[in-house]
Amino acid sequence: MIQPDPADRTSAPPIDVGELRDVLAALPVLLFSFDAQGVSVLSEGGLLEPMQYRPGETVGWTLNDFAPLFPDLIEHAGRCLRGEMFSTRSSEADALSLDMHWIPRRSPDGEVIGMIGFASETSDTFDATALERSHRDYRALLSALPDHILRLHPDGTVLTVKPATDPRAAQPGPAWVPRPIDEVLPPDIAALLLRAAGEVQVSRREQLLEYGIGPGDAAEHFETRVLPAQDGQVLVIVRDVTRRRAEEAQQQQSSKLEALGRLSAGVAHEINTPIQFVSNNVEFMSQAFGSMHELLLTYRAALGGSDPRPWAERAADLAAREKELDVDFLLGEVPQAVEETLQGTRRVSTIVRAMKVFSHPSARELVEADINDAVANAVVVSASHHKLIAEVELDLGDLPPVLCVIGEITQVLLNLVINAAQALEARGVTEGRKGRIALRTRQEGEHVVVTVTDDGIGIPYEEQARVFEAFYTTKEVGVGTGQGLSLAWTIVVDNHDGRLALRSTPGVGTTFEMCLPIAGPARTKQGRATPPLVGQGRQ
Amino acid sequence: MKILFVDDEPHLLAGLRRLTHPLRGWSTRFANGGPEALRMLAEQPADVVVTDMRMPGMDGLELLRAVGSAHPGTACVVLTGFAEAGREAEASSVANGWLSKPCTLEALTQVIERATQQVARTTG
Repeated sequence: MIQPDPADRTSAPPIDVGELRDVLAALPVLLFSFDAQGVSVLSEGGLLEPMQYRPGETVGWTLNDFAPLFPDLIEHAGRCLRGEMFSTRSSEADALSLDMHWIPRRSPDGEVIGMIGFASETSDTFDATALERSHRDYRALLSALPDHILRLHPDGTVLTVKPATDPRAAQPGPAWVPRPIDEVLPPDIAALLLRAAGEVQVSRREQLLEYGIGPGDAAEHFETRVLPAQDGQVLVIVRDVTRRRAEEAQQQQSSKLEALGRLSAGVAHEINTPIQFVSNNVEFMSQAFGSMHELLLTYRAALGGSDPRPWAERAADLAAREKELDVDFLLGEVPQAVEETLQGTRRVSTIVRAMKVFSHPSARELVEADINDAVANAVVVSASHHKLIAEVELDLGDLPPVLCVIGEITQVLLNLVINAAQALEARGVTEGRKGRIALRTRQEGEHVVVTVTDDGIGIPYEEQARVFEAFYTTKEVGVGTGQGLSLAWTIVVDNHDGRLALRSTPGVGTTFEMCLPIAGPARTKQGRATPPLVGQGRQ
Repeated sequence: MKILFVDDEPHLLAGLRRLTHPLRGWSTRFANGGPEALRMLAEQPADVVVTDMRMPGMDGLELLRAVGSAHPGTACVVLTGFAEAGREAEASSVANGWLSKPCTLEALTQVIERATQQVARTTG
C-alpha cells in the first residue's frame, strides 16, 4: 500500500455521492438541509423509509410545501436560518420520536447561508409526558428544599439561583445573576466559598463549610456544601442552620442546668457537713469565750485588792470557779476547735472555687486553660458521687495551656467522672472493696489527652456505638436523661474539634478518652472547613 | 438522757462533742458508722440515735431500720446534709425527727426532746 504524500492531505479525494447515499440510508438517521431561501437541498438517511420517502425525493420543496405534513418545521427551520443552533425532541412522524438538532450553515465570513437538520431516533421507552412530569416533579421538589442552591461559573459568577423556601434567610434571588459572588456576599464569606470552589474543581470532592454572617448573637449560621458540577462549574447548597444552632445551644444549656441540679444535691451535702461542724465549733468557742471572760473578771476582782478575804480563801474560790466553768476542758478543746474550723472553711472554699467554673454558663469564650485544674475541679465537685465508693487516682502529666471553653471542658470531665461513679455503683461496691476511678492526663504532640478509667460494670458491646447519642441511657428514670455523653460529644468533637473515644469491656470496666487540640478548635472567626465525613481527616 | 451520734465525719462528731459537753443531764457517745453504732447500742442502750444519711457501707436508712427492730424504745433523729428524693421519704417514715445540716444546738435539743417524747408516748 502506498503511503499518501503529506503534502496532498489538504486535497481529499472526491466523494462518491451514490456510495454516501447508500451509507446514509443504512443509518437510522435523518439528514436534511435548506438554503437561505428555505428551499430543500438535501434529504437523506435511513429514517426516510419508515416515513415513506425516498432519499432526495423532497429536494426542491420549499418550507411551505412541508407545512401540512410537518407543522413545526417552518418555525424550527426559520429560527435556525436566523442563526440559532438548538435541539428539539418530537414524535410527529408516525410512531417515530426523534431527537432533532438544528444547525445553521455559515459562509466563511459568518453569514447564514442555510441550515442543516439532523435527527436520530430516541429510545423506544421515551415518554415525553412522563419526562415532562418528572421534570415538573423535580422542579417542585427543588423549590420545596429549604436550601439556597447556587450554580457558579468557574470564574465565580453566579449562573443560577434557587432561593430557599424560608423567607427569613438573607435571600439570594434573580438579582444575583449574573454577578460575581463577591459582589453579592460579604467579602470574607465569598472568599471562603471561592477557595472551596477552587478545591472542589481540583479534587472533585464535596466540601462542607460552616460560617456565620452578622455580629455575635444576631449572626445567622449557615452550613454550606460545595459540589463539583459540569464544565468546571460548582453547585453551592446553602442551608440556614440559625434556628438549629439556637435549639442546640438551648438544649445544651438545659442539660447543663439539669446536670447542675443533680450536682447541687451532692455539693450541698459536701458543703453542709463542714458548715455543720464549723458552726458547732464557733458556737462552742463563743460559749468558751464567755466562760473565760467570766473567769477573767473573777480573777481581776480577786487581784484587785477590794476583796477583804485572805489570799488562801480567794485562791480556793478561784479554783472552784475554774472547775465550775470547766476551764481545763476548754483549754484542751479550743485550739482543736480552731484548727478544725479552719479545715472546714478551707474545705468549703475548695468546693466553691471548683464550682465557680459552672457559675457562668453563658461564658463561651476560648481561653488558655489548665486542663489539670479542670480535672481536679471535676473530682472535687463530684465528690459526693464517688467518695464513698471509689478510690480516685490522679496521674496528671505536664501540660501546656489549652485554648478551650474551660467551663464546657470541666462539664465534660465532670460527666465522665460521674458516669464512672455510676458504673461502679451499678457493679456494686462494698466498704471493703471500693472501686477505682483513674484520671490521667498527658500531652501527645499537638494534643492533650485525658483518660477516665473505671473498673465498673462496663458497657455491653452492642451498646457501645450508641452511648454518644442524645437521650441514650441505661440509667433509671431520675438518675439521668442520657444527655451527658451526647453533650460531651457536642462539646469535644463539634465545639473543640477534638476527639472522644470509648473502650469498654463488660464486667471489667470502661475508659473514656478525650483528646483536645492544644491550639484550640480549627474554627476561624467566620467559618471553618470540615471534611464531609465525621472524623475523616482528623487525628 | 443518753444520746448516740453517728456520722462518718470525725470533725462533725468532735464539734458536737464540744458543743454538748456542758449540757447537764446529757450523756453523749459518738460512732463513726452504722456497725459501730449498733455495737455500742448492744453494749448500752440509748434514748436517742442522731445519724447522718450518707455514710459508706451501712447508710442512715439501714441503721434506722436496724435500730427500730432491735431497740424499739430508742428515738431516731436524722441529721443530714442533703436528702435524696426517695431515700428521704423512706427515712422520714422510720425517723422520729429530722434535722438539716447545718443546725444549731437549740434546734438539735428541741428535735431530740420532741422525738423522745413521741417515742415515750407510742411505747407507753
